[in-house]
Amino acid sequence: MLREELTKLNIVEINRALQNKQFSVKEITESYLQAIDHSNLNAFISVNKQALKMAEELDQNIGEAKNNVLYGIPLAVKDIILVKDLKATAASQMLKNYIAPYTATVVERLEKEGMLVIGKTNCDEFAMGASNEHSAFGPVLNPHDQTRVSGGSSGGSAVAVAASLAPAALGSDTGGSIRQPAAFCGIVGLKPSYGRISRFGSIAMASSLDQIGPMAKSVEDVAYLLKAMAGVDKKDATSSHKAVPNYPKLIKESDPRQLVIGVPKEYFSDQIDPEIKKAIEEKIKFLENNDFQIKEVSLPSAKYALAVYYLLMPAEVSSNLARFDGLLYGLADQENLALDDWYKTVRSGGFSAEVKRRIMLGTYILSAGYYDAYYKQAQKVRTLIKEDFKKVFADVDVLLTPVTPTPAFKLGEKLDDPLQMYLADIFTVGANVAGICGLSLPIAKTKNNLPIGLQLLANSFEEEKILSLGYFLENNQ
Amino acid sequence: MQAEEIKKIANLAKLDLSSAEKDSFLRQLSDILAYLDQIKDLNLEQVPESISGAEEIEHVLRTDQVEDSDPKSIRQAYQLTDDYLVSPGVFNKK
Repeated sequence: MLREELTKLNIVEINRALQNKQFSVKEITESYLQAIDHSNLNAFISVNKQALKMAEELDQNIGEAKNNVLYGIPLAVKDIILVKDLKATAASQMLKNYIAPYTATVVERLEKEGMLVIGKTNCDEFAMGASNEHSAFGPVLNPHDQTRVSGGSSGGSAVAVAASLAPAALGSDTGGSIRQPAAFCGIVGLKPSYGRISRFGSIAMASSLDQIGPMAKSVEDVAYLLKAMAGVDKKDATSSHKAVPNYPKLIKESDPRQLVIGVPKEYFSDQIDPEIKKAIEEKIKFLENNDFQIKEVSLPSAKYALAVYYLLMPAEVSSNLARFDGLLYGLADQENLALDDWYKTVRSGGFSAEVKRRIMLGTYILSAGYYDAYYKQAQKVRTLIKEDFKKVFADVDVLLTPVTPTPAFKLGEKLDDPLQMYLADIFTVGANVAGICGLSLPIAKTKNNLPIGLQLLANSFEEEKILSLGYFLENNQ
Repeated sequence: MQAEEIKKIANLAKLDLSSAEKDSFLRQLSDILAYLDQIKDLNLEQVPESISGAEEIEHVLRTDQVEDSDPKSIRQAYQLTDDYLVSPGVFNKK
C-alpha cells in the first residue's frame, strides 16, 4: 500500500490492516508524521518526538490489535488537553512554553487502549473562537479551500482528520467547537453529554459547558473512541457514574427505524444558506422514504440560546482565566514591578484580543449592578431551554438540524465583527446550554465543493441514539 | 456601556488596555450587549436558575483524606523558594 493511501484509512480499516500485518504501527505512524511535515494547513502546534519510539513498542505486542480496535492507532490532541511532557499552549502566547506535568484522563484512557499521541493540534486561543483565526500560532486552513477557515475552536483537530494527518483527534466543545469545524471540514464530530467524559487535564474555558469529544472519519470510529473515553473519573466531580454502553456494538445491532425523529422548525429560518437547507431537507425526505417516523417539533426558547451562551460563557471565562497571572502559570515578567502592575503587564501581553474581549464581557456581566440582570437571568433562561428539550425528547428520540447557518467562510471575513463570528454558533450552543449530546455528520457538498454538515441531537446520556442514526445515514446514501 | 466603565472593568480584570483597544472594545461590547439584552426583559420571577446542563447533579462526597500534592504541578512557577511560590511585592518599590 502506498503511503498516501495508508493515511486515508479510518480507524477500523487501519485495525484490520494491522491485524493482517499489511503494515506496522511504526510504518503508519511514520506516514502520518511525514504527512504532517508536508502539510501547509497549520493544523499542528507540535508533534510528539517520542511517537516513533512508542510505535515500535506497540509493534512488540501487535497481537493486541485483534482484541482492541484502537490498538496502535495514532491520535491528534487539541492543545488545550494535557499530555505529559508535551507542550500544552492552549494556542496562547501566555502558555507558549508550558509543558504538561501530567496526562488528561481521556488521553490516559486512550493510551491504555494502545493509542499513541502523534501531536498537539492548533485551535483558537483557550478554545475561544469559531474560525481558528484567534490562535497565537496562526489560522488553520480548510483543506477543501485554503482561502477559507477550518472552523473552530477545534480547527486543527478537524483538519488533522480531514486532511489525513491523523485518523482520529480529540477536540473540546463549549458552544460548538467540535461540531462546527467538523461540519466545515467534512468529518464526524461528537459533543458528548455534560458529565459523560472526564475533563481532568483539560484547560478550562467555561466549566458548566465544556466537554471533550472525539473527531474521526466515520461514526463507527467515533463510537469506538467514545466507549474508551467515557465514564466516571474521581478527579472530575462533574463526571457521571452512569454506565458506559457498548456503543460500537449497539449502533450495529439496533434498528434505527425505532427512533422517532424530530425536526425543530426554529432551526430552519431564512438566515440559513439555501444549499445547506436543501441538503438537510433532502436527508429528511430520504429518511421518510426509508420508513422513519418524522415529526415537526418546536423549541420556543431556542432563540435565546445564543444570548444565554454569550452571557454564561464569558462570565465563566473571566473566572477561569484569572489563574493566568504569570506567577503559577503564564508568562513571567522580568521587570521589577509591584504585584498589581505585574498582573496587568503579564495578562495584557499574554492574551490576544478575543480572550481579552471575553474576559472584559464576563467581568462586566458579573460586576455589581449587572449580575442579576444578566448572569442570573441567563441561568433562568437556561432552565427554560432545558425544559424545552426535555419536553421534546418525551415525544421524539433524536432532533435533526443543520450544524451551521453557512458553509466555511473566508479567512478574515468575520474577524473584525465579533458578533457575526458568534452567530456562527447559533445552531450548536443549545446542546451545551442544555447539557445534551450532539453529533455532526458530513452529508453533502456545496457546488463550490465545501462540506455540509448535519446535526443530530439526543437527550443527555443517549449518545447511542445519535450514533445509531448517524451510522445508518453514513452507510445508506 | 460607557468609556468610564471600560476603564473600571479592565482594572477589575487586571488588564492594561491601549486606547485603541479601549475604543474597539467599547464599540464591540456595546454591540454584543445590545444582542444579549433580548433576555433582559423576560419575566422569569417564577423560574429557578440552572447552574449547568446536567440533568440531575449527582452529589458525591469523597472522604476527607489528606493526600500528598504533586510538586511537579508547580515546578513551572515564576519563582519558587523551597515549595513556596514567590510573588513580586504588593507595593511599588519606586
